[in-house]
Amino acid sequence: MSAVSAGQPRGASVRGRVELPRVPVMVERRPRDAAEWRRAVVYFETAPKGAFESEDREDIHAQMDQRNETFVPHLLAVTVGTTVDFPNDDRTYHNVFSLSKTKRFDLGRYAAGRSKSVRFDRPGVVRVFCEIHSHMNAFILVFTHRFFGVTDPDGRYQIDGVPPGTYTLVSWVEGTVRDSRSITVTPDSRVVEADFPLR
Amino acid sequence: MRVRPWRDRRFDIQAGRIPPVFGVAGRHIYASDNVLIGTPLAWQYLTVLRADAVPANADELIYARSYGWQPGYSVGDDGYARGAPLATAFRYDTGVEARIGDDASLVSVAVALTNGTLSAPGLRSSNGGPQVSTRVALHPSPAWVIGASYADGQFVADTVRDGLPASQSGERYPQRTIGGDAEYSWGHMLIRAELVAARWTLPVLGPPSIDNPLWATGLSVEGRYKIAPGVTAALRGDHLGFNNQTGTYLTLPWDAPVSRIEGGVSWAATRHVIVRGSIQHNARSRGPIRHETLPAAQVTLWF
Repeated sequence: MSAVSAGQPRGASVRGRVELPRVPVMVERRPRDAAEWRRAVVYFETAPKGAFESEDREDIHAQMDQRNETFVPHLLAVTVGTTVDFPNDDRTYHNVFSLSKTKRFDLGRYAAGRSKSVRFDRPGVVRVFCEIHSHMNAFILVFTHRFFGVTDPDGRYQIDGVPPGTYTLVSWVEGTVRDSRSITVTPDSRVVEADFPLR
Repeated sequence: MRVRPWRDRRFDIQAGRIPPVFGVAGRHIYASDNVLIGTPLAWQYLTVLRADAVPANADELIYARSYGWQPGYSVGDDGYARGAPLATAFRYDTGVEARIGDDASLVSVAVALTNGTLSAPGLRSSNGGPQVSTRVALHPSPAWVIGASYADGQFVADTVRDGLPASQSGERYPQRTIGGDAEYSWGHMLIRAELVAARWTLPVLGPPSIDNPLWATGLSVEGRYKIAPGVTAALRGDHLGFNNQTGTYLTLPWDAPVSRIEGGVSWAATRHVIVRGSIQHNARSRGPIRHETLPAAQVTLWF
């Protein structure tokens, strides 16, 4: 749920809940996991000062699985320089690709048990698809900083290690910015609550 | 309409206007799944056969060779109209389809009962005879798909049969088609081949007699390679042949054999906008145009 980061950062925690509309249950060959689709990303519009000073530039990996003709997770948030692995855990072929300007790639067809990787070097939104199964799609959000969080199935998020300051917090759902709000973290703040109710 | 009675079982039923169960090319004609602009000859080339008009003898049939865009016959509708291909997916047939399994299954089977035939699908039946069609596909590994298809349906329309002599009006004049397909894919490469062999039985009315059945066989082989994300190149070779008919003076294939080679590139500008360019060379043994090279370009928006 929290940001991809190494070690335990100092600073306050920003947490809250993003209220999302219900996802209709679709009768498909492989019913979607509704919980996977009810996720949002909450992120700082600009990184706090000094956000990169203590960053370890180690090799970071994340994973987006192909399982039951679905990308799992449907929404993945990573930092620039992360390598995302795409293992195929289905019996059929998949062909993962993206035509997004942030990162264009095409992994070709590969079978179950194999995995291919893509390194994301530029910030932005990457829309991921399968060439064989047109209903398969996912998002990868690439950030220049680590101040973001993907909500859990209940819509809750937490971003740790936030230094004092005033920030703009943004909620993002299924390709669009849903809402934004201003928050202030004071030197003696430990937890700042910021909810995004459904409008 | 499509219904899946049990969500956790690979069984579904479609009813209404449905795509052909037979073969594979019919389900790969959209730009999102067809790198080239043309379609295989068996699924597109107009033969000289019509459901609403039939030749009175073998001479009429042979004389119409290579005029599939407007053959005319003396029995049935006496005007000129387009002939029928071996199969078509540009118009859907009407009926019911049941499918067991999918591409994740070792074996998948689809069966359909429809109004028309592969070459003459329609909203309503023109001859009261339904078509039964089926395809069985084997997926021995993710890289391979091997399929076999069969279709059998009444071809000649009632408007023709009602005008035949009493001894023949009650006969069945079907189109029976068998097909085989195979596909191998790995990485950025795909190779696909399909054979479609159709046979028709026409009324035998006068000398020189039509020698039934009329056969037409189409074979296409296609290779694709993804050059870069969103950019795919393809090459397809195609041949359509016909068996012989003997007229008063000549013995010839009942339609002019055709060969085609087409190469092209597809570029996905975005996921839903596809730009395609291809060049196609056709060669035919008879007709006003025997060789033709056709370049084409197309922009497609799909959703």
